[in-house]
Amino acid sequence: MTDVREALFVARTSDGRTVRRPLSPHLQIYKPQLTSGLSIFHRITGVALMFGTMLLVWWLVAAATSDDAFALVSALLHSWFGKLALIAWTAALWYHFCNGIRHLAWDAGYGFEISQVHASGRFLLISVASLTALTVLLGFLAL
Amino acid sequence: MNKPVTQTIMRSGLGAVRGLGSAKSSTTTEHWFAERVAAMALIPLTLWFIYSILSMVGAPRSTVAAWAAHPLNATFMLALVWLTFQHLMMGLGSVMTDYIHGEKKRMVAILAMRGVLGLFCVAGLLAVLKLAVVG
Repeated sequence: MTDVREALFVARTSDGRTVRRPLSPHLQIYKPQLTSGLSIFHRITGVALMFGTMLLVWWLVAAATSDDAFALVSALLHSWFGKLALIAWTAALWYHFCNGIRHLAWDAGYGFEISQVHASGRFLLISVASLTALTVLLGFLAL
Repeated sequence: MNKPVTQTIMRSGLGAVRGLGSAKSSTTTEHWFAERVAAMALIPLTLWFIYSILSMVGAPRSTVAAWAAHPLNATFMLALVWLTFQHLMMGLGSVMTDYIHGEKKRMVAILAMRGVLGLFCVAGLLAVLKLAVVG
């Protein structure tokens, strides 16, 4: 046994036989849906934001270190690759931010009807697209 | 003649004995709750952060230092860095718990992740403090 959770799969039928409990089918079994797609994307953006956060720390440390160190980060962020990374970071941040609020609403008990879930999902996509476009626009205007 | 009734009991004896399950394990509930407390605090902090960053696009180091020298900015930035890393480490921990199989491998991976990100967090906090106090 390599995983202690295997023990939790051990069950007994009413006639005493030991059986392995069934495992619910994994992602690829299901038809792609708005609900599951948005949920998976919350995790993907969460993991992606790790890189953005590490970049933020690099930027802060460089600012606290020297003009040269800060100039290096600035040059990297102003390159086409840096701009692309910042746009991706902005989109991921707005997605995780908006969908996070959606999750908090669910945690508080609101919006569970499937029609509401679909409506908030569509509103999420529109919000993320608008907020990302606005932020990127303001960023480029400030350059 | 009646057919014998066979039913699979969806419950494991070991799980019951160890008191597992979200209703019984308080660490699970606390983890879930702490992740959301950080999330709630990060809503205003993230909005403030995006506004601040946009106001410093293309700015030289001296502008960033002057910005961080304001106590309110330093306070918010320290809170943002700390809570972002707390939330990040909890979230990544959940993802890794779900997808890394094997007790030992999972434990090592999560501890390594927490070690690396914990150091990044300390470096970020230190940088903000240095900027705020020394410039």
